Amino acid sequence: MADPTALRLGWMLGGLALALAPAVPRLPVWITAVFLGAAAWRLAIQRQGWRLPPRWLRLALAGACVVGVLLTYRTLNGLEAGGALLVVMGAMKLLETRSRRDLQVLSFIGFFLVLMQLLYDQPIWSLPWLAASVAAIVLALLQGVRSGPPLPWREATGIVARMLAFALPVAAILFLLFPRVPGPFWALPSRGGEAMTGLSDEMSPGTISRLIQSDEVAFRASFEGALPPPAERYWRGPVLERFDGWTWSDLERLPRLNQPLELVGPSYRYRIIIQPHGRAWLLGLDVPGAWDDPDAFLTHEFQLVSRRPVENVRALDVESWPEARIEAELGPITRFRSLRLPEGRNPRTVAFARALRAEAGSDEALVDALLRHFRQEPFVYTLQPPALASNHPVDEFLFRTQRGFCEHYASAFTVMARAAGLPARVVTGYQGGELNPLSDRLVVRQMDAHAWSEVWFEGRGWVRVDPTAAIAPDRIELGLGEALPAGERVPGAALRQLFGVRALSQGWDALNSLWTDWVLGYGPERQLALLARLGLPDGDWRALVVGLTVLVASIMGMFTLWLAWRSRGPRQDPARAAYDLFCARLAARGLPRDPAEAPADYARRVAAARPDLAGPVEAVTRDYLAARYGHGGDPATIAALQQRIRGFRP
Amino acid sequence: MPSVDGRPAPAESAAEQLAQLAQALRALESIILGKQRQLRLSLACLLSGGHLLIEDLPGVGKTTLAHGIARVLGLSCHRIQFTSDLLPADIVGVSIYQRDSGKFTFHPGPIFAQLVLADEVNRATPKAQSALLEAMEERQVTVDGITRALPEPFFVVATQNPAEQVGTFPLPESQLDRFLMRIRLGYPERALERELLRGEDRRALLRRLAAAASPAALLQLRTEVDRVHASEALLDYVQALVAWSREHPGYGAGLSPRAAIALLRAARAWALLDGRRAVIPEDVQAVTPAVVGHRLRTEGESPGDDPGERLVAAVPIP
Repeated sequence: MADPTALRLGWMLGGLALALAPAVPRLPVWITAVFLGAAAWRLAIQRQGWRLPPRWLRLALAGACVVGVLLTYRTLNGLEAGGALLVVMGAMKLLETRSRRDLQVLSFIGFFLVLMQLLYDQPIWSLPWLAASVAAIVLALLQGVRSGPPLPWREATGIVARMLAFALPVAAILFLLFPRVPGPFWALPSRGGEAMTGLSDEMSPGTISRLIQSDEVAFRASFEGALPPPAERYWRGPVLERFDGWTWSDLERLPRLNQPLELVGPSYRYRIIIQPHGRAWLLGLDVPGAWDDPDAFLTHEFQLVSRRPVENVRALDVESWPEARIEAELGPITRFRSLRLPEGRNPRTVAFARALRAEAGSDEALVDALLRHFRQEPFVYTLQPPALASNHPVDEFLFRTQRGFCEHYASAFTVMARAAGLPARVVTGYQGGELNPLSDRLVVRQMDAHAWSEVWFEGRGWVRVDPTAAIAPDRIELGLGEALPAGERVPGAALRQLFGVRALSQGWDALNSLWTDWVLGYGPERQLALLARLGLPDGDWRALVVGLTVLVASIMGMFTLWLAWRSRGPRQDPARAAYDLFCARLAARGLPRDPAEAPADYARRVAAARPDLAGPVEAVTRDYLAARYGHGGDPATIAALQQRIRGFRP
Repeated sequence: MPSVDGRPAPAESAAEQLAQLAQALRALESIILGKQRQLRLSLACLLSGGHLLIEDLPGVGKTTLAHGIARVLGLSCHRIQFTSDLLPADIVGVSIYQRDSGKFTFHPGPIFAQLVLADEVNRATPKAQSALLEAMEERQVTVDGITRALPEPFFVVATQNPAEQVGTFPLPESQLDRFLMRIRLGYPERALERELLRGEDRRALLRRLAAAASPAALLQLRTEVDRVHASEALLDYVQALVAWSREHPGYGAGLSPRAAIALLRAARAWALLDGRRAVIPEDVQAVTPAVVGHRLRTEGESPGDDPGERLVAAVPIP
């Protein structure tokens, strides 16, 4: 491709492809195919010297693409459809690219493509990738719009590297100070349709064990001071109190807690950084009592939730009291709800529990008896329980299969407690977490998802009872991998046990946690804190925008001055410098010199306007012309000129 | 303008000739009234060894100007009236067989003069035009394989009537480039025109005009033109003008390097006419409209819009 036009086009195509690549898995295949087809067509046009497609054909193709996007997404609006439209329109633009201006337009499309990635997610690898995409597009732009032959590869990359390096401080300032609006990114449609891995507000057999398959990070926590022992690492998620015989669920809207917390015993203070999961709940160590996020509140079930869904990385400081007494007085509604069982379902379980209740002297004794039942019977803790098919799944599990995962045990235990007249409910969340020594953070993954029960004792309030701990105590103390029977593995766990891989994955996790903490987790609250530290405590975003504009403008201005200073060419002629001063002094008296005005003409004009200055002005002009345009311009002449101008005060 | 030159001595070498030229200029001004600038440009054009194109309507004094220049400088002058049937031989001359000697003798055409007035060049065919233009460029003519040098100095003043369109062959741009300057005379001012009406016939005045300078003085001054100093700063200015015409819209294709050379040469001659031995930006500005006007094709040129003046007004002096 010796032809510079083809070379420019090739660079631009490369930059666009790089920008588009991360979006390919999200895009329908035909969109990618349209883009690749258009690119190949355009390259062939360049190589074979064909003509660009005629206007009617381009219009027809563009129309077809719009219809295609409409048919695929049923709309042209929103992130998905808009992104797809951008890609196909970029492809169409390729087909009419001939001038420099077209290349510019293409580069802007490229920048939009880059931006589009960030609207979906912002994993750590996106930073180098996007930087590379931007650099490639800028490079193509540089090669495409400058006149003359393309620059040598090395020189062009050097220029682009410098350009990006100069842009870096501006980007950093904007990142830190540009007002961060809480909530979803302006009017961007929420990504409600997309499934994100995480807890659900329902639990039926299989819900949690499905989650276990993922080793994605759910959240990270960094503790001030000691970590809680593994047995206390219960991260409270959705509390479920409605049971239909198969599925545990809860109210759609959670009412606020309307009673004071009784915070007793020691507390843990920690910062929790939650990966986006698209739901409203936050997670806290059982029981969260204080937090720094004004958007967060405790529900009447002591679950920490947020007013807005966690669509971005969210960081908040929380303090938890594991021994807090919650809901010492049980209201009638809650009592009714925590005892309700579906009519006619799981009759054996109900009968069994009632029998145990008759034997047990107290509620505590009943719980012990129930747990003893789990311990004594040959229950197996497994990720691969047999399917429960009957209308009485709890009966089937308790008395026939006896193999199950935490959701089975929590569900069965809660049903038995309710049948025995003890208010009980299911709590889902996470249990455990692995300390990454590199980042000193507790990393909690989806595979740490867990479900347990809570029962209400008179005078003690809600007390956590984890039937899984009765069957497989190792699950709680050592983690899932240790608790599963021989031959059963947590997916991917074996790989992580290898020493090198473990160190590597811990390093990667530490890096990721830095990224989420410092980049993604830099939200409105932390920005306010930073502003307060900078002496702008009120966080008035208008002032911030004005300040930012001034700051960025002054940085760019200084940079421009520096550039001008650097490219000022050979040192300015001393005679000229002196003459400029002379002109500036006259300009201050309302007689500016036009840059294209010859000195003698200027002198005449000044003399006509100010006859009193005629003599000195003529002398300066004579000296200046002699010094600058005469033979050599010897130092004595220049010195005389400078002397004269220094004394010139109109 | 006061002396710009730091060293006054070298000017004296041609001071006498300069004085003669100044006198000649004054004499011309007495005949062609109110056209000091054009007269001065004409002399500068002659001094820098270029040729002059006068573009204007009939009757504004084109021919008088040419004759006047010839007269005051003591140059031999021929006039060629260009017509559509003019042949190259009518310009350069022809070899004629002499019966008594049995040889061909060359009869030089009107081109063999120190000042050639080519009247209404655009009325002749391109063939005849190019004979003139070749002679202008080469300063010699070749007839029947024999090259004959033209007299020194050799100065062509061509006139062209822009209004006449039918049956004319306007000079193409590439040939316009052969003229160092193009000037326009324009109508005289009202008062001066009255004087013209009152006064004697210009032709009679011309006939009585005495030569104020000699061709030899002119040739000597020409060598002086080359010695006029052009500083780096001035060359910067010339280059800035040329570069501006290339980079900004409204100047056609921009000025060629040849135009830049012409600009500098004309500015040198102008400076010398002013008695200076160094060129200053004023000199460049004075000659620019005449030197670049016919070299810039401007789209939709309106009468009041002179691309040369526009250029001078736009380009900052470095």
